[in-house]
Amino acid sequence: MSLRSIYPNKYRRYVLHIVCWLVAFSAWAQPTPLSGTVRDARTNETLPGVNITIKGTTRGTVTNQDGQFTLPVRKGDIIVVSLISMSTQEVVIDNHTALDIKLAESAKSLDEVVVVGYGQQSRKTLTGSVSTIDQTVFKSVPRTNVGTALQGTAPGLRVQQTTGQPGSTPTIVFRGGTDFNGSGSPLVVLDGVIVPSLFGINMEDVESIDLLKDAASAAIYGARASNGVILVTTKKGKKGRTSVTYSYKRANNYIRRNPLQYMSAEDYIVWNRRGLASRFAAAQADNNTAEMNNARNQLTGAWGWGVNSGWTAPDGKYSTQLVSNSNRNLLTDPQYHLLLDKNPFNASQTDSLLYRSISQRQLEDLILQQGTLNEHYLNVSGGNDQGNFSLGVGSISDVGTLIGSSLSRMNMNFNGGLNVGKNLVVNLNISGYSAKTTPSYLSADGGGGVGGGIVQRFTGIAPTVRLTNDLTGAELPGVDGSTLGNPTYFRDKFYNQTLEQRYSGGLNLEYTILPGLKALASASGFYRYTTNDSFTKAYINGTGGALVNTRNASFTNQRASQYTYNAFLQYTKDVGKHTVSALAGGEFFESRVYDYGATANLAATDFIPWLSASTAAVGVPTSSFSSWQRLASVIGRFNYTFANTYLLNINMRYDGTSKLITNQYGFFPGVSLGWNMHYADFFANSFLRRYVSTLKPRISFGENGSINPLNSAGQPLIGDYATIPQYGSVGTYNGQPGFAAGITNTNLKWERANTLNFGLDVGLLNNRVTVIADYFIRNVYDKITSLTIPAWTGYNAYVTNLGQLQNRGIELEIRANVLKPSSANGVSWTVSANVFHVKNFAKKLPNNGLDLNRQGAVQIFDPGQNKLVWVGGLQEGKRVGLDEIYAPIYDGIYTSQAQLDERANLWNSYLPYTNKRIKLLGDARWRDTDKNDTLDYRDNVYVGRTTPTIQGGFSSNLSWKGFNLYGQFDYSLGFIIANQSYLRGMSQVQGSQNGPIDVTNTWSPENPTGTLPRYYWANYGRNYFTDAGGSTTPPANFWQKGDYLAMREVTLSYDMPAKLLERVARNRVKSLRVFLTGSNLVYFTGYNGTFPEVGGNDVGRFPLPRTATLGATISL
Amino acid sequence: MKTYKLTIAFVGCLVASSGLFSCKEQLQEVIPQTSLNQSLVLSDANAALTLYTGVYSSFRTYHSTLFTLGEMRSDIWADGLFTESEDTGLKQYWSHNISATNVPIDNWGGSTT
Repeated sequence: MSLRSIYPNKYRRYVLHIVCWLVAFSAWAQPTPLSGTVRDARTNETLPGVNITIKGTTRGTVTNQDGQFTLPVRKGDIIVVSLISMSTQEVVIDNHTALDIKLAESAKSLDEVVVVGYGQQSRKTLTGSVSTIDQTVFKSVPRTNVGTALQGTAPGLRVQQTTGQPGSTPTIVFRGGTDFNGSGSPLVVLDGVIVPSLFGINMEDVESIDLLKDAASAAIYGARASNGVILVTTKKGKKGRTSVTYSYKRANNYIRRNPLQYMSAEDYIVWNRRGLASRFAAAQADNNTAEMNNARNQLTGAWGWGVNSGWTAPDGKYSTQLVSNSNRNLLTDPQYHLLLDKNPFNASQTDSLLYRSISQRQLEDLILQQGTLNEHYLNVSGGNDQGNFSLGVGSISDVGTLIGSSLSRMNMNFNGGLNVGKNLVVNLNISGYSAKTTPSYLSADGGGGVGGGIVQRFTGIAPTVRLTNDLTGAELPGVDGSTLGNPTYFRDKFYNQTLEQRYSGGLNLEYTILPGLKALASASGFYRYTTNDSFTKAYINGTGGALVNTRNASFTNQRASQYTYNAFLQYTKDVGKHTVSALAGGEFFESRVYDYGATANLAATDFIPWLSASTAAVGVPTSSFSSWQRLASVIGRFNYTFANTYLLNINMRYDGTSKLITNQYGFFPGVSLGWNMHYADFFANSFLRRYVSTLKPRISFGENGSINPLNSAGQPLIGDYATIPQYGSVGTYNGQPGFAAGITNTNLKWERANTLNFGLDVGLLNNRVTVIADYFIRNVYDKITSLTIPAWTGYNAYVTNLGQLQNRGIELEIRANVLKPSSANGVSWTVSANVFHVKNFAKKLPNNGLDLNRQGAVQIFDPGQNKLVWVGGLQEGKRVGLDEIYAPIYDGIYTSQAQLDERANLWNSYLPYTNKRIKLLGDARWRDTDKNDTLDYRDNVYVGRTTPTIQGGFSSNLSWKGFNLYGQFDYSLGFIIANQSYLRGMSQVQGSQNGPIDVTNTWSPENPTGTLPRYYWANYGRNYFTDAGGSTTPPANFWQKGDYLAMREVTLSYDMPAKLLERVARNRVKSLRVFLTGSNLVYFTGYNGTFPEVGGNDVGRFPLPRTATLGATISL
Repeated sequence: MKTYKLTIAFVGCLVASSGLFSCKEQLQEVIPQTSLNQSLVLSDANAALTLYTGVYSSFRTYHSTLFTLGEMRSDIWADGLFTESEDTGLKQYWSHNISATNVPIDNWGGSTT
C-alpha cells in the first residue's frame, strides 16, 4: 500500500499542502523511494506482514511475503517498523535508499503496546500505571476461567481460587479493595464491552489482558473504576497470510490428597471413649449429676463410636457394637475387627468391641475422582489491505475431582475489520458462549460456611460407618441425606445443573474525516440467559432414615441484557517535536435483569426431572424486573508528548447514573505526567546512558467512583433505586401484603476514590533488565455506609456517605533477559518477578460518640501499658483491623496436681461448667494476661491477620533451539489460617466426626505423655474452640501461618524449527508446538491443610486438582 | 482550514452535549419496578391498604425487641415454665446470662443507638 494508493494524487497534494502550511518549519523535500527488508533478529528470517509507517502520518505499507517493502520517504522522516510480539523500531531517514531492519522479539519489555481503554498506547509514552499480563501464561494451561491467569502475574491483584469447581471465577481484590472489609474487584471490559465477570471467556481467544491500576488511567471508566479495570482483548486478524490454527489439550485432574492424616477406626473409638470419660470427669468435678448421666448415656448413643443398639443390625448406620452371644459369629467375619478397651466409667471393666473400618483414603476415594479435561480450539484468521478477520471456535469439557462437578462450554468469537472505501473502517465483534455447570450433589460445599467444607465433612465421617449391608453387601445410603451420604447411593439422586448462554456483539466504526481526525462510534451489547434446574429424586434420608419422596423441583431463570452506545472524535497531530492527541465523546449504557423462578414438589415418579411433573407449588413463583440501571457519560482523553520525552495524559469522564437522584452526576478526572529521562540530552550524554537505557519517572493523580460497594456479606450495599423514595414489601401481616416506606437518602453521592501514584520505569543494559515500580496512596472517601440507627425509628439502617478508607502500597515488577541468544539456536533465559504490598487504613469513620469512632473493635489487656486497649475492628486513623484475629493463648498443659493447685483460682469464662474454676490434668494452661484470675476476652492476644500482607509471583522462561521450559509461581505471605478440618476434629464439636491423628497425642490418664490439650467429646472442655459450636474461636496456638509458594505452572514445550518444518511439511505448516504442562502442582507451605490460598478460615472445601496437560498447537 | 476543524470540533461537542441532555431524561426513566412510589401508594384503596398493613408489620420487630429486653428479663419467666424444650436463645434473658462475653442481643437490639 503506497501513498499513491491511499489518496488520489490531487488530494495528497492538498493534504501535504495543509501540513506544510500548518507546519511552517518542517522541511520540504521531494519524496524518494525507499526499499528494505525486515528480518527477525534472532532467526534472521524475513518477516511478512510488518507494518511500516511514517511517523505522524497515515502513510505506510506492509512487508510482502519475502519481508520486503518499498515506501516513498523524505529525508528526516521517521519510519516506524512494528509487528505484534516484536519490539517496535524507529529509523530516521537520512540518505537511505535501502534498509535492512532487524526486529527483536519483545520479551515483555518496555516497548509493548498497552490497551488503555478506548484505545491503546505504547508503554514508552505511557504515564499511568498499567500492568500487562505476560502472555506466556495464556498458552499452555487449560483454563476454564481466565481469572486464573492473573494469579501471581498482575502485581496489585489478589487472586484467590476458593474451590476446585471447574469454571468458577476466582475472588479478585484490587489494591487492598475499596471496602473496609477488604473486598473490591475490578471492572471487567471485554473488547470494549463491560461484562459481569470473567466467567465464560475462552482463554484461547484472548490476545492480551491489561490492568489499569492508577486512578488517572482508570478515569476513562470513571464512576465504576475505583477498583481498577481489567481489559481483555481478543484475537484480531493480522495482515499477511491467512492462517488456520488448531490446538488441542488433554488434561488429567489428579486428586489433591488432604495432607492431614485422620485416626484409624480403632483409635477413633478408643479416643472418643476417652473423650467421653474426660467429659464425665469434668461434669463430676462440677457436681453436675445431669451431665454425668448424660455423658454416661452417650456411650450407647447414636454416635459412630457408640455401642448403640441400632448398630447391631446388619444395616445399621454405624458398625460399632459390643460382643454378645447374638453377634459372636462376627468375630470370624473378615469385615469385622475386635477391640478390647477399658470401660470409660468403670475402670475394672474391659469392653469387647466389634467394628467395621473404612480408611480415610477409602472415604476420599468415594467423593474424589480423577477427572479429565478436553479442549479443542480452532482459529482461522487473516487480513489484507481490505480488512482482516479472526474466527475462533472452541469447546472445553472439564470433569472436576469432586464427583458430580463438571463444566462443559462452547465458545465462539469473531473479530472482523473491513476497510470501506478509503476513510471508513468497520469492525465487528460477535461472540458467544454456552456453558453447562453441574455442581457436586454434596451440598456441604455450598458457600464454604464453617459447617460446610466437603472434604472436612466427608473425610471426617466416622471410620466405623456402615456403607454396605453386612450380610448382603447391598449399598446403604450412609450417614445422612446429602452431605455425608454414601456417594454410590446418592450420586444420581440430585439433578442440578446451570446453563448459561451469553451472546454479545459490537460494531465499531472508524471514519477518517481528515488526516489525523477521526470519528469513532460503536454499539455493543449482550444478552445473557442463566437457567438453573434442580430436581431431587425420592431417597432414603441416611441409613435407617425415612423415605423422602417430596421430589422437590425448582428452576430459576435470569435474563440479563446490556447495551452500550458511544461516539467519539479523535484527533492526532504531530507538529515538529510536539505530538498531540485528543479524544472526546459520549456514551450511554443500560443494563436490565429479569428473574423468574418457581419451586414445586410431590411429583409421582423419579422419571420426569422437571417441575411440570410436580403437583403442588411451594411458595409463590416469582417473576420480576429485578435490576435496571442506566449510565450516561461524557468521556475525554488528551495526550501531549514533546519529543517523546515529556509526556502528559489527561483522562476524564463525566458520568450520570440512574441510581442517584440529587447528586446524579459525577466528574472523574485523571492527570498523569511522565518524563522519558533517557531521551533528555543531559542524560543521553552522561556516562549513565551506558547502563541505564530507559529511565522514566511517572506521577499521576486521579479520581474514580464506585456506586456499587458491597456489604460484609458481599452483597451490593445499595440497590438500583436506593435514592428513590418508595414503598417496598415488608412481608405479610395478618395474611395481608404489607408495603412500607423505606428510609431513603435522596442526597446519596458517588463513592469516590482518588489515587496518587508514583511510578518509575527503568531499563538497564539496553533494556535487558526492566523494572516497573509503583507506589500508590488511594483514598476512598464519601464511602457509602450503612449506618445503624435506633430501632424506635422503625428502621435499622440509613445509607449515607460517611467514612474514608485509605490504601497504601507498593508494586514492583522486574524482568530480565538473563541470557540472550547469540544465534538462532542459542540459549535464552528470561526471568521475571513481582511483588506487592498494601495496607488499609480507616481514615474517617461516622461519628458515633466512641473513642476514635471505633466500630467492631474489641478490648484486650496490654501488659506493656498495663491497661485495657481497644484493638481490631475499625478505629479512626488506624490500620483496618477487621481481618485481625485476637484469641486466648495457652502455655502448655497441666501435667501435675501442683500446677493445677497453683492456678486453682483461674476462672475460665468460656467453660460450660457451673464452676468455671474447674480444670483437669491435660487441660490447656491458659495465659492470664491481665493477672486477674479470670480468663475472658481481655486475655486475648494478637494472633495475626487473615489477609496476606505481601503477595506476588515469579517466572522463568528458558529456551534452547525449539525447546522451552517455563515455570510460573505465586506466593502469599503474612497471613494466618484456621484449619477447620483439624480443629473440628480436635474439638469433636460434631460428635461423630473423626479427627486428625493429633488426637492420639493429647493428654489423657491413659496417655500421660501427650503434649496437646485434653480431648473432650463434643468440645466440653473448650480446649480447641472457646465457644460451643466452634467457628473461628480456636486459641492462638492453633492459628497457623498460611504463607505459601504455589508452583502454578511448569511447561515444557517444543516448537518445531522453521527449517525442519519447511523440509518436512513443505511450507504447508507454519508452526507446530507440542507441550506438556503441569498446573496447580504443589503448594510449598508449612500449613497442614489442602488449600492455603483460601486464607483465614479454611473450612476444608473442594480443593484444586493437580492438573497435567498434554497439548499441541498447529498453524497452517 | 483551521476554522473548518474548529467547526467540526464544535459541532462534535454540541452533538455530544445534546446527547447528554437527552440522556438526562433517559436516566429519569429508570424507576422502581417492584415497589410502589409516592404517587401510587395513596392513589387507590388497595395500595393504601398495603401501606396500612405494612406499618403494622414494621412495628413488629421493635416490639419484639422491647419484649425480649423487658418482659423476658423479668421474674415472671423462670426455669420450668416451658413445657417442651426451652428456647436457649430466650433463656439467656430470663436466666440473666448477659455479660461482656455473652451478648444475646447485639447493640441492645438497636434500641439505644
